[in-house]
Amino acid sequence: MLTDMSRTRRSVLASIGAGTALTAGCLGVPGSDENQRVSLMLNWTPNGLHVPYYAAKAQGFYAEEGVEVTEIVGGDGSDASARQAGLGNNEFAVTSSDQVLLTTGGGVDVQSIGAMMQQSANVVFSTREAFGGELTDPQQLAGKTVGTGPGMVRMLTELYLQEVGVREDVELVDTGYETVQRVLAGEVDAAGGVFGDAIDARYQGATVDSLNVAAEVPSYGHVLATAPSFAEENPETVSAFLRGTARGAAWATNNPEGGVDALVEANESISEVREQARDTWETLASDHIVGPAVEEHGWGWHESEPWTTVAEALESADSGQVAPTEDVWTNEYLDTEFEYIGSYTNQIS
Amino acid sequence: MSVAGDRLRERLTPPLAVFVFVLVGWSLAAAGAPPILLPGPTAVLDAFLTDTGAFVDAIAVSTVTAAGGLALGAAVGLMLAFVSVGSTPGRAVVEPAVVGFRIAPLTAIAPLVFLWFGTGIPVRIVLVSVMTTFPVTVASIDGLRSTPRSYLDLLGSVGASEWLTFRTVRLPAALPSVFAGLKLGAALSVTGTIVAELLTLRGGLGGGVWDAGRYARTAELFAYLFVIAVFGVLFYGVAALAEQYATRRWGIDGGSN
Repeated sequence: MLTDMSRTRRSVLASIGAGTALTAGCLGVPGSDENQRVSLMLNWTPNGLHVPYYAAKAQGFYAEEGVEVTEIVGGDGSDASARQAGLGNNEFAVTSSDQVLLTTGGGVDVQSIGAMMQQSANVVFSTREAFGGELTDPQQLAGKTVGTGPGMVRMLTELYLQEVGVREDVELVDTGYETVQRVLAGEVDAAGGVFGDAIDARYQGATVDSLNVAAEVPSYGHVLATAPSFAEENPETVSAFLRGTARGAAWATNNPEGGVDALVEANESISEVREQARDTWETLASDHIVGPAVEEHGWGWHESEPWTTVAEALESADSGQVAPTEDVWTNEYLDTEFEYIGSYTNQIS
Repeated sequence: MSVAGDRLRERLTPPLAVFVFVLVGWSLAAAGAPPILLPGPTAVLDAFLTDTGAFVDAIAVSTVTAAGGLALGAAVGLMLAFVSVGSTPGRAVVEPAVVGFRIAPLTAIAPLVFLWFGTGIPVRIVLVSVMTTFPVTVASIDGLRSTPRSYLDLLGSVGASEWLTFRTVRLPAALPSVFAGLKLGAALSVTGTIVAELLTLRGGLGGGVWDAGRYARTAELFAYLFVIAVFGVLFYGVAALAEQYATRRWGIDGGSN
């Protein structure tokens, strides 16, 4: 789906591109055949979930693959990063599947070009103290109070409870932005959150158990997005960016300390929570980047089911216009011949 | 046309012209923009009319919070002003404390307050009062200190007690300043309410703003912003009406023009 504005924008970009190329050719501008310069907007302030991008940049993988990532910009939510990528203010964005669906549905075309997190980061977690024992089976949640923050976390937690058949027996309460603190204080028995919340709770001295929501509810976590018009005009740049990112993810999986070094060097304030960032990255690398689709097809591979799940959840939540799922993702730019994409699981130890 | 009609037309024409100009400009801009970024006026109106009940509920919650926060802030502010004006130690303590407390941003104080006391309406009222106490205190102190010397001399010459002087001269003379602080507090109470609701994500207009933004219902988000603007103007207007009533009741020049 392309809106009128996108078409206009694309034609303007094409004109500018053609004009620039002509000018460069006529004047013989030095460096006109150099790697294309792009920027990447994160979905949030840099943290352990963003190690692959910093590792790829620091190791020079992007440059080797033919793209120069000049800037990795901290973001302000997946909604903002999806819109910035769709508007072309940043060529690439780390965002989420729900925001890709909503942003495109709202008239700013943006497309997922690779699923960094094959499984969403959502977990239902608790501490032994709050739960009164170890949480190992979702059936144990029956009769308990489960707190969640707002938005997608709540939607996926609710879907998970439905899938495991205990929704009617669980009291869901809104814990706003204080989910971790409310669990630690024992005000709720368990909570729906992301695995980073569970790690936070562990770093505050609690013994934490988690249940992976994606085990029952197929849904992606971070996805990489760009404007479809940019991808159509710069297919090689998009593929190069994905190759560099996949290689960065593989390299940082095999060298977690080096990966976190790259993150900390670029963002000094993270040094204070370095261990937490490393734990976050290792959990992401081992549990979320890989999966059946990655084993079968390669790193970043999309399938339709997680998109359908999220689209249906959004529609049932009375969200804004949701784009048709087939319009918002593509595997076209994933170069499966590239060893770090097609054989990703063989490259990590 | 009558003189009254001419005056009315003269008074209404400029704001109506601005309104029409803004509406036309907005419609033109929205026609070329994706609805997720800039919905048109009709889409915004439609969003409001489609779910008027939700807006009414949100307004009710925010009204309770803002009014409660304003009332509490006004009561505390007046009390602090009396303490400050009534004694030298009070003056040394109150003003720096009020200014220092106000300098701390609400968004910095709120997470602690919510952690200690929860996120219900009473807690949000307390948080809003943090914003409203300051203008009422400062304005009331100024008002209480600026009683015309001749009034005080007159009361002194007939041997009036401190209480009588306070009740019949100092307080009425301070009313214009007190109401100036109250009007400022009324506007701040709306801001504080929206911020508190955005931070707690629980009900009210702030909760509506968050919800509409999170699910990309941009037209509804715009509708909430307009409702908040009107809500703020009405709150300020009520404070201004109270000022008019008080100044007529006590025959004080309130300077409410």
